[in-house]
Amino acid sequence: MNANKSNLQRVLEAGAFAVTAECGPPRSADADVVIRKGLLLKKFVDAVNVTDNQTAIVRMSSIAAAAILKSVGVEPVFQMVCRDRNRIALQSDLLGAAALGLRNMLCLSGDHQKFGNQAQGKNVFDIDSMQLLRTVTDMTEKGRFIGDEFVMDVPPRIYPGAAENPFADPFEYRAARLEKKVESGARFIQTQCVFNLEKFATWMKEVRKRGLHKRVHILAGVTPLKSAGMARYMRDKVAGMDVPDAVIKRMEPFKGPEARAEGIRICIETIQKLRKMEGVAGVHIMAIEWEEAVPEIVEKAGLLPRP
Amino acid sequence: MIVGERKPFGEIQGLLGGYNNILLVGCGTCVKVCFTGGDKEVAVLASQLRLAGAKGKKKAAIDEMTVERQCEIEFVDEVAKKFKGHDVIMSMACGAGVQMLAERFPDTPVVPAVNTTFLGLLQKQGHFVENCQGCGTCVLGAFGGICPVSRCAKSLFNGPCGGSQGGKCEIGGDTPCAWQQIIDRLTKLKQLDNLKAHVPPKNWSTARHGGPRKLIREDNIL
Amino acid sequence: MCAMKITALCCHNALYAGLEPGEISRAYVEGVQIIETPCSGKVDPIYLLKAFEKGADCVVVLACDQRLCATIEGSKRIHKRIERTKQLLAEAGLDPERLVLRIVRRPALTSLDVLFKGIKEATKGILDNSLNDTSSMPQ
Repeated sequence: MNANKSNLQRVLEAGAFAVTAECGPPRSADADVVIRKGLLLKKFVDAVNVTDNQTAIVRMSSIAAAAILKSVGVEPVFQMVCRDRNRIALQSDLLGAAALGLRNMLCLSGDHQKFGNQAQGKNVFDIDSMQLLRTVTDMTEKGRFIGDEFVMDVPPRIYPGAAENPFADPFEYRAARLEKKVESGARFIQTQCVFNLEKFATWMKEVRKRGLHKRVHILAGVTPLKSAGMARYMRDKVAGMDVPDAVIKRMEPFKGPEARAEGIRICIETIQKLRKMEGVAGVHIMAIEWEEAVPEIVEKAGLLPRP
Repeated sequence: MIVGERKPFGEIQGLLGGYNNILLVGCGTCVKVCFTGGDKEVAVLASQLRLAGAKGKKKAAIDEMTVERQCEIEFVDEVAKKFKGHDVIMSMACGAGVQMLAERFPDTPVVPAVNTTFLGLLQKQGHFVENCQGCGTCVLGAFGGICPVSRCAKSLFNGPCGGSQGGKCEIGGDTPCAWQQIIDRLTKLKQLDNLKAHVPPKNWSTARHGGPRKLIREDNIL
Repeated sequence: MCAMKITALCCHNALYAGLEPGEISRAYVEGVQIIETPCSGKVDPIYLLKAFEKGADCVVVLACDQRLCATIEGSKRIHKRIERTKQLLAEAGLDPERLVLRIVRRPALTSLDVLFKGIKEATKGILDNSLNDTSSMPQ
């Protein structure tokens, strides 16, 4: 039965502390960029997320880039946002992804298109991320499409996950929303990057109270900071991000390579604290346009070798 | 009510360029209420067009009239009384009114002066907000009377996205997060548990996605 | 060069705090047309645009100080309406500076001379070429 499971699924279900990272596909048709990033991360992570037109900027499609990663032996997590595709396209792409041997997937709402380079486009949002999760579950477990009696002879085998942001509002509702995602079939969760450990711990407490940590594997997001400027930018300009002043103060005295070194240090410390929290099943390292930092972080956080 | 905004003046001049005999028609209902296309706005636009044209060699003649509603033929027929073979009719009504005029006067070009924007309400003095998208399957009862289709920028049905912060939507412009509002309202009504149930994919075929819609009331036809 | 034509819309309450009823209609000063308004709150952009359409080079609105408005909230409205009308004038290609708002403290208008002096002073420095001067029209 294990042969049917993805590497990520096996690692999480074995109870090992999982490590995933993120790879942003290029704004071009260059497959080599994807291969380079993939090979860089290969030995250091259990799976690599490939974003789906993140911040609504057109990039190589997540499924295509994920298939390229798979072709060089890197296990991908392809992402699907609800912003750009209707239920026909989403279900169709799920079949295609499964046919290409892609297993892990992340269901997301998607950043509003006004943030990207196609702000004049229509958005879709035919179904939301919760409905997408259920759709994946129904396709995988029952071989059924939305609202159709037809049963597929070869259903897709997808290991679905969802994102959750413990720092977004309404804060009191976030654990309830996680529960709903679990009910909808989410098997793993990747959170928004954690800088505010206190707030994250509060969220985890709520999560544990509802017993959700036993029903879904939660990977806490982390991001290494490159500079104080980057920290401030994330605090002020990125929706749903919580960067405490204490973190910014730590970055402020440093510039250039020293700042990056401090950013990596903070990231490693965060990972070590997260490992100690009950219910945290792994980390998801989002080193935005800095994938080279991941090997150092994984190694120094004591997460090698990967199972 | 339907809300719209007057087109930029330059665009209006462009639409009327080359015409000498203009009939400007206002509407006394929705667009009057949002200070866009009622009798006052017709008078102001006509005056502006005359002032703008004053320096030119040829001055276009501009006639003005306003009817109760441009979406009903009974009222649009009154325009015929003032219509004297004008070269062009410019309507200050919403898109529906413009099209009714075009149907009534098929031999005359009919152009819009207004960009029709949304279905909404007057929240407070001078503030009009969108709150209905005419989706054809109203589910306001489940969400404490707050519409996730029109007021959530992503039309989500199962709770807020991760971009909700301080009660505001990630798109900015002070837009409230509809889901924060829904949660607050249902909490007040002690109905927050309503949100536990999974809301399945919406039937969009009753919305514009299913094609242009119509309503036929046989019981009202003689 | 023609004399500048000015239309002045004056709040009735501001005028008659200091002047006798009928004084305005008896007086005449070259180039200034006085229009009495029941309150500056009644002044809509269309009246101002029409004044320009009828040939005014400048339009002056005399409104009472908000704290002294006889209709309590009437003169509160005039400021935003003047701003709006300036936008409308600019769209139509006219210099918005030709529209002037002057706040009056009743009973400051104690005589016709004071009134007309105030109006002329308010329009001083605004472009002299009349809108109706044919010599300045594009050929």
